Amino acid sequence: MAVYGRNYRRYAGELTPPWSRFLILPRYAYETVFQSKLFLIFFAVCFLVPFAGLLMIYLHHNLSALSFLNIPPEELKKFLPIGKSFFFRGTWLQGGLAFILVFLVGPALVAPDLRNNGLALYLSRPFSRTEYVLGKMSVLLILLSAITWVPGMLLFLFQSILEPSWLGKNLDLGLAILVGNGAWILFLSLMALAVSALVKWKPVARIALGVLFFVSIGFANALNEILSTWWGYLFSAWYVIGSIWASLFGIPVSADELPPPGAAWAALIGGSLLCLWLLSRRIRAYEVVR
Amino acid sequence: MSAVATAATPATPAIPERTPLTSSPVPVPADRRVVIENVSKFYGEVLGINNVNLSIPPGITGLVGPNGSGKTTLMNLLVGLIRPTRGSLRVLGIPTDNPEALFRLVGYSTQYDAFPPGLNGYQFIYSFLRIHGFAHAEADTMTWEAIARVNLTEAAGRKVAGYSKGMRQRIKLAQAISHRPSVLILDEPLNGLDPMARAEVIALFRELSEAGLHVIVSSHILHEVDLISDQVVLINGGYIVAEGEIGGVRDEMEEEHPVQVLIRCDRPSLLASKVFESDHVVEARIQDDGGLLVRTRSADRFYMLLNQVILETGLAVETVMPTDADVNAVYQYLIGEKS
Amino acid sequence: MSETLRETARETAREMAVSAIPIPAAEGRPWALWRRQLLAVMRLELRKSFLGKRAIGLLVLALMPVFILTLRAMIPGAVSDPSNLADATNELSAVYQGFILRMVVFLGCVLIFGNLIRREVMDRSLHYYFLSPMRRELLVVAKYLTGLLVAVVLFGTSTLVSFGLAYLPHTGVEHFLFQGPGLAHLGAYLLVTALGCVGYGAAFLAFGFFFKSPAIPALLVFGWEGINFLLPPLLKKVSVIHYIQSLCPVPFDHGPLAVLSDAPSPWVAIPGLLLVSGALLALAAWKIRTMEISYEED
Repeated sequence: MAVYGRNYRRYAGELTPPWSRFLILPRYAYETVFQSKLFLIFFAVCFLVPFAGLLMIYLHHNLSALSFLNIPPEELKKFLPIGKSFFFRGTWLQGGLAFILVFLVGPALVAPDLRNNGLALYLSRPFSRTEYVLGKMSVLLILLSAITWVPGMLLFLFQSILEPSWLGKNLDLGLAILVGNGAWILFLSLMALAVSALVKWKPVARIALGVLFFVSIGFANALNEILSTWWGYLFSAWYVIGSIWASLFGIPVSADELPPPGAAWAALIGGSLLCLWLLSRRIRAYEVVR
Repeated sequence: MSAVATAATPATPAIPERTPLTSSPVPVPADRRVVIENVSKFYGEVLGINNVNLSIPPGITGLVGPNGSGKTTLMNLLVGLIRPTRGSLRVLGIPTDNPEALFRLVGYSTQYDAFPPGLNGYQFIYSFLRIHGFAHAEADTMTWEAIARVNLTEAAGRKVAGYSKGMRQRIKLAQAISHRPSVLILDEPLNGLDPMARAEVIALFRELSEAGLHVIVSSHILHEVDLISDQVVLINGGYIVAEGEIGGVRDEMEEEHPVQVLIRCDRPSLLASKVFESDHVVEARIQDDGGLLVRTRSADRFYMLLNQVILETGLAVETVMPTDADVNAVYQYLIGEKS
Repeated sequence: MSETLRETARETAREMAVSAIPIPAAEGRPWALWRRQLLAVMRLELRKSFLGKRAIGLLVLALMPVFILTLRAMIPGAVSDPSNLADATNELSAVYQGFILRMVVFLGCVLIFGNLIRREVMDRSLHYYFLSPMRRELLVVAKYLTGLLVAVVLFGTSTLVSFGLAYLPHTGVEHFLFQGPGLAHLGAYLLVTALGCVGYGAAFLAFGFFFKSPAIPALLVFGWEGINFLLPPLLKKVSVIHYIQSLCPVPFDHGPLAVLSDAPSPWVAIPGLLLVSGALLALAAWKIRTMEISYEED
């Protein structure tokens, strides 16, 4: 067959930097995520607690605004303590909301691509599995950051601005907010992606995520109750991260309530590695049917 | 094409020549037809099909239309998978909202390329035959028969999820015919089939229709629809554009779309001058290769005129060939031009 | 085309031309046909959904309480006083009512029943059932019975084995079982497990018809059942756990914040639960009758 004309040329123009290409995934994921009214309402609700915290910090430094209560300022300050407990409780509350956010958003990330053979489309481009996982994780990491360490750090900075001397004495709290929330959102993201990759159907993945989270809490309590031990807590991500937060914020807890921090960190890292391994097994461009 | 390329290309098996269905002198009663009365289907504000009236006799009926025209909607309505917004449908006298009676008679092969998970080819067919109510021995026999008909005996023990596209298409077809229905409704059954398999499947359709079954087939492969169908239904934008035998449909379009006939003879200019004397001839054009392309508003009158000219002038005619009397042409005129 | 091929095709055509012979059982005796169809669907459902990799999660869930009580039985010192059967009874009650019933049975039923219809829609294979000459209501019943069978066998066995393991490290068990209330306790636990499967199963099967994602209503019900002990007596009645927990042989201590109310009698609890489950199944059957196949992307 004669070939003439020869006017086909490959694209020779500029390409985007390779490191930024994974960002195409969150761009389109957010379009879908924010179409859900339920999610929008929930996302708005997630900012209520930080807003309340903001109010508390303001009132702590402006007790005159509460003069109508006719309570002495020293007594009022006891009701509005701004310290490690304050930030610990805020982290704990936002951490719970973070799980619900992952419950709503996480299952829809990988499962539809697996079910509709979309992975082959992604991986037949100059796009690696790592970039794919990074891209999907970034959807969750960005959303979770917005409701966890970002408002936490803003509150920390706000408190520091209102009381500069406080900052020097409580730098470790800032670190605790960053590290504690960072560890939790990283683990949650990995767990959600792993479950979404393991179960190819979004509603089933959502159920599985819920089952995993709540059953592990029940299992942990039952095991500890029966065997009078704390080892059961290591099976529950909620108790594990609770122990890590408590240790980072310097909150004393007994072994009856939470596992030791060392064991908690080991369990968290082990769980994360397990999720990574599951992802590496499932994120492939082909499926072998036996 | 070079000689080398010709030798390397395997010969495409010939599709069996169509045996024209002779029209029955006795009208087919309503309970032997598939009847669609004033049916419309809207998906919210999106039109599926609108005001469709059809009465499909036994034989092979080709359902032809572009993507999104409503072919699948019509088929899904016929089998009760969706309900009409308006109107009624009956298959051999049975309303489509009576699955217990309907699916004793109807077999449907859908467009969905999906199967119950974890089943192999044999289990896929056997399980649903048991749901029909057949006992084990009977279901087993019927399963193997259906599998043999589509040449999947060797692959019957493998999981359907591991089949190629063509094999999945064939196992769907086998499942549709396994319970020996009287009406076969097939949504693009030839998709993904290689030429050999296509020929075999078309042969099966032909034999079924000649035995009196209804075979309703939707397809995009117009020349195959043309070859196998006894009648066609053209659908576009949710509306029935034309229905009936191809020849009849084409005849009705002559006024708006004159028939084109190509004649090869020894004196094309003479023929051209003769045919131009008739009022029904719209155009006569001598081609570069010497053939004469005539466009006429009445094919019957033209052929009579041609006979006359041959007798009068002793014209030596090599070929007389209508060039736009097939489904392809009808499709282009009725649907292609409008889209 | 080969002569053999033509012959086979002609033979097929002849067979199909005399087709549509009614199944003998369908003429005037539908019950036999319906029974066959029911069993056929149950067999298919078991093969598709509950045998193989898909059942691993359920198995792990059912084995969790067994694992806990096995450790209790094996670890030296886990049982402080082997002669004290009351300890075993109380611990079993805590494990059963706090973990098995509220977590294993509840969430197991979500996994089993919540997916019976939704998973079929996700798989795009529901239409194969709709294209069979079978009443759609029968399909609902068949799917429900399959799920119930799996749930009762799995969680009933888990309950039974847990019961045995709870008393294994203790002495005087034979007397407790055969001359004491032991067997009655076991019977009560098994009954409660079965009733829980019946009630939750009907609820989550119905949810599958009304919600694209049964997980969210399941989460809400989980929360509601979880705070049931805090609710006033009237609201307590709007739950499954209130009725079935009243049938447990040992009362469960919900703590100082629990709102006390009269436990319903078994003569109210059992028929009431069965009635509500039947009503939910009837609702599901009504819904499937008018259901259309439209495999949209979720």
